[in-house]
Amino acid sequence: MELDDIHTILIIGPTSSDKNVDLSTALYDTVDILHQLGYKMSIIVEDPTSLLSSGVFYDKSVVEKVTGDNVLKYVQQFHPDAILPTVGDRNALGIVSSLNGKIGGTKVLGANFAAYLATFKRELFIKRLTKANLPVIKFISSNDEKEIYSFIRSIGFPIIARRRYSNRHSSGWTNINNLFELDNFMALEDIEDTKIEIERSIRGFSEYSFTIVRDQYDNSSLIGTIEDVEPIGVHHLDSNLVSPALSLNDSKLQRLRNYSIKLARVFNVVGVCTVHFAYNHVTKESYITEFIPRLSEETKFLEYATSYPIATVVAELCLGYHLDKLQLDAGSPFNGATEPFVDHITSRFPQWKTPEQRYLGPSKTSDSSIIVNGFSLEEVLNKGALNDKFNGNFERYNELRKLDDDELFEKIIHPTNWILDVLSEAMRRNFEKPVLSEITGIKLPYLSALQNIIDNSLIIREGEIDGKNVERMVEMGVKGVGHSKLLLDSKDIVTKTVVKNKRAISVGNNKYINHNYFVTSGISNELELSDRKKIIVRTPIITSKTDIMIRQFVLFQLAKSIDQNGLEPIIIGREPWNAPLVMRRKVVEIDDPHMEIKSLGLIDKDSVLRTIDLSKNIVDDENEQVFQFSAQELKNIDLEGNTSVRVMVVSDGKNYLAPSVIYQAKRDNHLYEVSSVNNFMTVEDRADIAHLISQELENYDHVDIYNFEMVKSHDHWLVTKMYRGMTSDIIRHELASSVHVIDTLVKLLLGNKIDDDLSLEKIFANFDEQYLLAIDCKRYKLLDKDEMQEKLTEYRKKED
Amino acid sequence: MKRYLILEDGTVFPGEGFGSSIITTGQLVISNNRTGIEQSVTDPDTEGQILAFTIPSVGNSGINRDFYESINSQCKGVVIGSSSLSTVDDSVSFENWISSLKIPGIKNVDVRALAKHIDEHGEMKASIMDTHDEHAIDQIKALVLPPDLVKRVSTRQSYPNPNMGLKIVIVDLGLKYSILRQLSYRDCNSIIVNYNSTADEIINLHPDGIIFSNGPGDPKDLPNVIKTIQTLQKNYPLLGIGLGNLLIALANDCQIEKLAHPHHESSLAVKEVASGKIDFVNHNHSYTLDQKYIGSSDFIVTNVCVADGTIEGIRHEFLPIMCVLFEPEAAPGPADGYYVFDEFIDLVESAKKQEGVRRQWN
Repeated sequence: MELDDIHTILIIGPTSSDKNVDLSTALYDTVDILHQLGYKMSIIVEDPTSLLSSGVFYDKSVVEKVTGDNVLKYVQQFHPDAILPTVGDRNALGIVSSLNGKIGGTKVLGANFAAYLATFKRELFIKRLTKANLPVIKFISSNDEKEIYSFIRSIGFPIIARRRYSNRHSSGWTNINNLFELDNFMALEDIEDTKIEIERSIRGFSEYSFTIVRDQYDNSSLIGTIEDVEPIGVHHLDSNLVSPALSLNDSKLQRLRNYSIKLARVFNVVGVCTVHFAYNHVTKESYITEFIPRLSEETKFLEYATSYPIATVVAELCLGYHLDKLQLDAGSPFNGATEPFVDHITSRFPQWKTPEQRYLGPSKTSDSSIIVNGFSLEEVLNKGALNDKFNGNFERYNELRKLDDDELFEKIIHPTNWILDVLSEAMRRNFEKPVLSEITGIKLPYLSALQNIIDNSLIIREGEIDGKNVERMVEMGVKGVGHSKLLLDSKDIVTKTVVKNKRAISVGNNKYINHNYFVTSGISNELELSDRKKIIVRTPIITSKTDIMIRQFVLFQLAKSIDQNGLEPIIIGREPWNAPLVMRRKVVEIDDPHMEIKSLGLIDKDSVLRTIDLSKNIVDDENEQVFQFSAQELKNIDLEGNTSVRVMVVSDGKNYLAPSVIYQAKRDNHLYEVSSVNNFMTVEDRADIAHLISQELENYDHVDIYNFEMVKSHDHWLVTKMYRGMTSDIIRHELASSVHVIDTLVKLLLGNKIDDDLSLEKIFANFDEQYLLAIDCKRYKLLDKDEMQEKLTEYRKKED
Repeated sequence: MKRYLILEDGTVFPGEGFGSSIITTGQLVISNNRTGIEQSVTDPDTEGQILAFTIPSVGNSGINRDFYESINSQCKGVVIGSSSLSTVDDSVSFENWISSLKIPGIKNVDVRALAKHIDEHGEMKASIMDTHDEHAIDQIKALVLPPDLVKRVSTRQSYPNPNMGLKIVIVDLGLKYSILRQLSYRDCNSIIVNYNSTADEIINLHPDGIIFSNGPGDPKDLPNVIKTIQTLQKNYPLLGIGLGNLLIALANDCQIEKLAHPHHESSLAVKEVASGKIDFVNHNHSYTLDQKYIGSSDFIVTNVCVADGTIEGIRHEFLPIMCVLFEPEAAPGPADGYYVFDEFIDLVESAKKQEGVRRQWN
């Protein structure tokens, strides 16, 4: 099948695993552009809520487990022209590599089968790279002792080794530094059919990743480089990341760039390819450790860092577009043949749900991340990893201070998520930087940056601030990092905190406007606002994948609604919001990790109509103009029942609407949930529920969203829980209901009213064609009205 | 020590001094090079310039003296935002290196605001000083930048870069060492001559091909070189790089113009017109060829800049002459442009073959 003949595309969607990266924005951008280009799309997805707002673009949404069998079944039934696996995380690549030879003329987009297979099969990966003269770590998998010893003689120590059992499981990797340790390892056990796998050890090497895009005409462009602060041995996504890779000089950078392009060529990757490298700055050895021919956490991070619309570009490249002749939304041309130039540093700091220390190793343990921008290493460290508001660094500092030198040294040797705090404490005690660098593998410039920050906080603590010190602080990177007021108040103002545009794509794409800003320092303020009245939205900090999904969804709907109602949405958060491309032109987004934007007074107060706060009380403003959108518990009675409902209500202070009711029933040890059950409720139930809601809302006279949980006990409904603001049900309510809850809320906030003479029928009215059925909170199905009626009758029969 | 970067139009950017403490004045150039500080500072193209680097945290990657593009530093000053005091490979720090070169520098400058200002108002003169009064600004305005930049950087005496292959004469207009490196990789037996060498002097060296190198300044300040080209081009394959390209164009009745947005970026896309192939190469030029004159000349356009359509490469329809405005030797930047040297070698070899055939027939 030629690319010109492709009209229908099957997209392999993400699985609902919490371990996967959230690629919902990338998915939105991908299907948005393909829709605009006229392709018909279907998607296989496990959880339709993960489609967020992109649901409208699909011809068919198949809600099934995302497995090879289900994809094959779909292909055999509907014969799509092509399959796009680049937005489905690692699982999608596994599925595609298993379909080789089974899907007839259906084309696989993005790369060839071998590429997808090589991301899983180490032997294939090494074979292909070795053939192409690309540097790869030497590897052997054998059960022949002689062969193993001979291999080790050729590569030398240190090595890592593991046993691969016949059931495909393996023991963990063991570090082996000499012949003695090797003999011990070999003598350990002798199970038949066990193969021993050995690799040259690259522990302590620096890790880099390069992301390139490539078109089918073999034009490639390096989109960005990422450098891990921690060395190899700590999982890439548990490590602090910095982009661009600052520690590579020109010859190292060009060498790794050439390798990346060559690798993409070897596997004929058309679209995107992220290549990971291990680099030893002493011996100048470099190895390719893995490659990722799909959208990933790296591409998401680089999209933040460079503003290059990677997801959109990749979708077009996969379908045969020329790198320099792409288009963005509404047909505007875009030159993808740009290697984005960034004049700022972007950093990603991993986050854990709880603050305690964790040992870090090759497996990922972090739950989310914070991304910050700045113009110096000190600035990004101050805003991110050392930002007390995110990490409780002050508590860490107090705890580390109690340790004696030996205990502290112990913590330096074993990497934990506190490593930067540990190193700061060690430097306060005058541990030598080169020694610390040698032990931890963290490069000297980072330690120098930490030292600068320590010196600077000493100056502040001692109160020795004068004109000269202010200059020194600026030199040390204390710009726009919480001390900005201090700098502003000093007599000799060296710099002042301002807001700068996160522009990156320069010469070639002047028309590609980016309204993404961050607070920093400088002379000129770059914040550009329109004359429109504004609604400010304060975004929450995220700690899990579910949080990300909810935040993405709510912010998208809010921004869209504010814009459609003729106002300018300004999204301010401690870290960037990953806005879909189509929204980036419409919203002004400001990343403000220290929440300084208010004190800077750069947004005219009179132009702000309301502030919608999703940040869970970060806005300390007592002003009535602040609308708290995050959930606040008003009532909680401990009562459980087999049948319950969750109702979302939007109120104008007098009347209300109930766009969606989720029905929950426990039957046969399973939990069934039906969204938007309002259309199937009996008149009595409806009246009961309406009565309870009216009763509960009697004393509230503000525009607000309320969430109720009601339990049916002895044929009567009782309110067991009541929240003001948004709960995590918001996506399901919004998806299941034909009333746009968030848009309705924005309209009410602008002063619109709900009709006085609303009948109960109208209050609960809903006209959806598809209903969401969840079983045990996991298995989702979309059913039409008849199917749903049938299911409900079945459950109610059991109830009787 | 507090110092100021003062622009010709009176705009002042405060910062902190490092390196030499002398007062310096020169043409301010915004460099968007991602890496390769060593190459940029020692590039003869930067003679008489104050270089403002827009990359953050300058010097993290260390300083490598193997990357020098000439023996001495050429630029008159450096402007940076943030720098790193330590380097990843434990080599000398950026600031100490600049001090050892005795170049004045200024850091903690809002280089982004500076770059935006220059983008809007065009390239201008600037000075790094200790004060920023009216008198200082008047001094900058009154200063006339020297027109003999090429004379300052060109070799005074001819010297060889021996090898066993083709004999290439390089007219040094501000030659970067990386051009010699590329020729060495291709076994070329090169001789580097002063920019003012006459056509006869060059012919006496019996070259197989001649390269007019990159260099600083306005090509119109070099009428003698234009005359030399007019004599040589009839009999020898020529390669023009950067300034060399502009001079070859002027020698063939083309005109040049100053770019509204000069190209000083280590990785900018260039498209080969014939094949559509896109390469990322180093650009360091403020002038380009005037499109109006190319159509009526004997040149065909071979390369254009993808971003703004600027002509980046031309080739003569009848004579063995090829030119590129970008820097195919990279240093710094991607190696995508190395093919230009291969093509030139092919051009020289085929010209040699034709010459042999011609001799046989005559």
